[in-house]
Amino acid sequence: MASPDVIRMVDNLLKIRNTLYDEEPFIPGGTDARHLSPSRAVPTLADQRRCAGVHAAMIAVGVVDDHPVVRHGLSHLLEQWPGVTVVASGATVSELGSADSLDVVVLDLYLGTDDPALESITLLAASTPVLVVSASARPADVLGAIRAGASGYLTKDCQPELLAAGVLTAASGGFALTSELADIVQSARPRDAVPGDDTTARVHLSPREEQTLSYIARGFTHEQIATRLGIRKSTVNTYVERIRDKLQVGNKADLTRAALTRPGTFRPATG
Amino acid sequence: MRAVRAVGADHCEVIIVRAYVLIRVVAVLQPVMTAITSAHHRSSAAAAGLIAVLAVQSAPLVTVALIRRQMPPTWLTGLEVAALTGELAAGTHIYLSVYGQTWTYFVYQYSLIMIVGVGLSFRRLPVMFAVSAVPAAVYAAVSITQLGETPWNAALDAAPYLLHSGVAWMITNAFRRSSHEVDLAHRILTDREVELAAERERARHARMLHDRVLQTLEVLGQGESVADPALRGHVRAEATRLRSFVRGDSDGTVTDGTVTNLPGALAAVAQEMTRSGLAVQLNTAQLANALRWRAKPSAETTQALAGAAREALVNVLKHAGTRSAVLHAELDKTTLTVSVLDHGCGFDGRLREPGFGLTTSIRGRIAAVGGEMSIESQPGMGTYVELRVPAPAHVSAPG
Repeated sequence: MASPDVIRMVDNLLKIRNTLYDEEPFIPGGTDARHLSPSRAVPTLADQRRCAGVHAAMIAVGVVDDHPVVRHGLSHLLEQWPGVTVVASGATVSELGSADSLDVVVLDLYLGTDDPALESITLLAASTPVLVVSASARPADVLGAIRAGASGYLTKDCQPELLAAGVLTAASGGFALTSELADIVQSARPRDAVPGDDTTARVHLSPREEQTLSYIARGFTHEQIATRLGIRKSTVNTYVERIRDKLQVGNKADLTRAALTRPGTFRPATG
Repeated sequence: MRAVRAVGADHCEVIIVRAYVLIRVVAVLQPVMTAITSAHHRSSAAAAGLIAVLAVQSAPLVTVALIRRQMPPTWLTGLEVAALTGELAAGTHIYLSVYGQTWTYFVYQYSLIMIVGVGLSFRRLPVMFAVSAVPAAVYAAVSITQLGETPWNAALDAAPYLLHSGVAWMITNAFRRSSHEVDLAHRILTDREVELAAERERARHARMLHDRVLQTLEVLGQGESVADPALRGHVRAEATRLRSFVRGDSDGTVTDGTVTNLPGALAAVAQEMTRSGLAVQLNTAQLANALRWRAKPSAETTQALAGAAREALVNVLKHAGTRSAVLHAELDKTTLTVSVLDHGCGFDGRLREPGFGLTTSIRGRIAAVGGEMSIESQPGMGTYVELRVPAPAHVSAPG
């Protein structure tokens, strides 16, 4: 199990990596100036993409699903949303090409096999936020995907607005904790685990995080939760981030390893 | 919960009955040995007659225990204790006429051994002590009046009645309780195994269904690919139904309205409302997981909660001006909570709430099963309906 020291070390490594390769989260609606900062000597990939004609304020989405109908449907839904553009799609992750040019990848969990694409999630999540959109609502699948590094999990019966909101949240580096996802995370709390059953995840949350999780599972917005708990909305967001950290804590080392060993990561600094 | 053979409890009863039979046989052997070893008793017709009476009254109890392989009925034991009061008194006369030693007072020894059987027979402690106190009191009385014992000595001689039966009761009770716990654990385990096997099978089918049919249905149910809103609603409802089948909320569709498991009943409500045009997000994962080992709500509670949730959702559809709502259920140690939340137009809580008749009806349903309900709303802020009932308790161990 990772000790706090290891986690801190890994965090630092991730920060260094982010600084080197400029993969800080893209804030939707941010100004171009923020992304073409004059202090940066090297144009980043994101900058290159924007120079190549993609509108800077647009969120570039990649869609991976092994069913053409679903892929088409998802792309169609996303394209209708202002500020979102689908720049790549394919039946497998490799068909996407380089994920570096994407702000978020919408990924199906079962890509034509009987095993969930957890490794793909970990590999992709090292550079790009991954939003899993799957037909499966089985808690094991959902928690597995989040633990592997996904920034959110939606089932395919979700409302289009939820999909768009999930893409926006994931693209900005946040955790798209929908009410459905919160409900499933709740079911993984140790106090609900079957006695003697070690297969369930042990996620130890503070009372405030528990409350926040429960309110989200009931469908409340972050603003409403803030009002109910008498705290600021930013504090609610912090709780949500902490829940994500606790869910992914055992996986941080894997994420880092994936980030460092990903082929094609290292580019010459002179770019 | 399905009926699983109570292996532990059965085994426990068999051992208790064996111990009982052994104790009864030894109790009769004791005066027989006295008669054989003592010339005075051997020659006394009265002593032989009383020993025969003790053997005869033991016979039906032992026979019942052997044949039925369970403890004889308590009324039979009570009857024997009643007979014992006369025999204790009669025994003193035989003893007086023959000897000057207490140990030859064989009815006393017989009764001290058989009283262990009383400890095994009666499950309720006060009743058991009351029954044991009868021979203790009779013995104390006759030993003071007939044998000329001091009250202090008589009390010391009578105390073992309560001691023997009390210790026997304590051990038997602890044994029964732990066997029951073993059975409970066994039952939970068996249920989990069955569920796990079903879950594996369902997962296999689910994979096949959701990989092909469900994905397509769900995409068709959204967006503009299907132009006709009515058909789209229908497709969405079918997808919801298939999804809850895949998830194992209920055994398929509800046709007769008698689903007794809460996640299934709530899923049925969500399907029905989705068909009516209200997209219901059903969040019952926590509930379903907690129900795998916590006590399940009764059929009445399930019906009341599902019915109330349905009315709350109908209210959303009619008055909230929105097409989506979240139906959530959560079970913790003390409370089972079902909530319905929408982000629609809401209403001013100080004024009369729309659908007022409906909300009183919800309140009534929930109150009938010992729960309560609250509504929170503000204009433009949506409406939150919360139903709370006490968490159902497991059937506790007997004794």
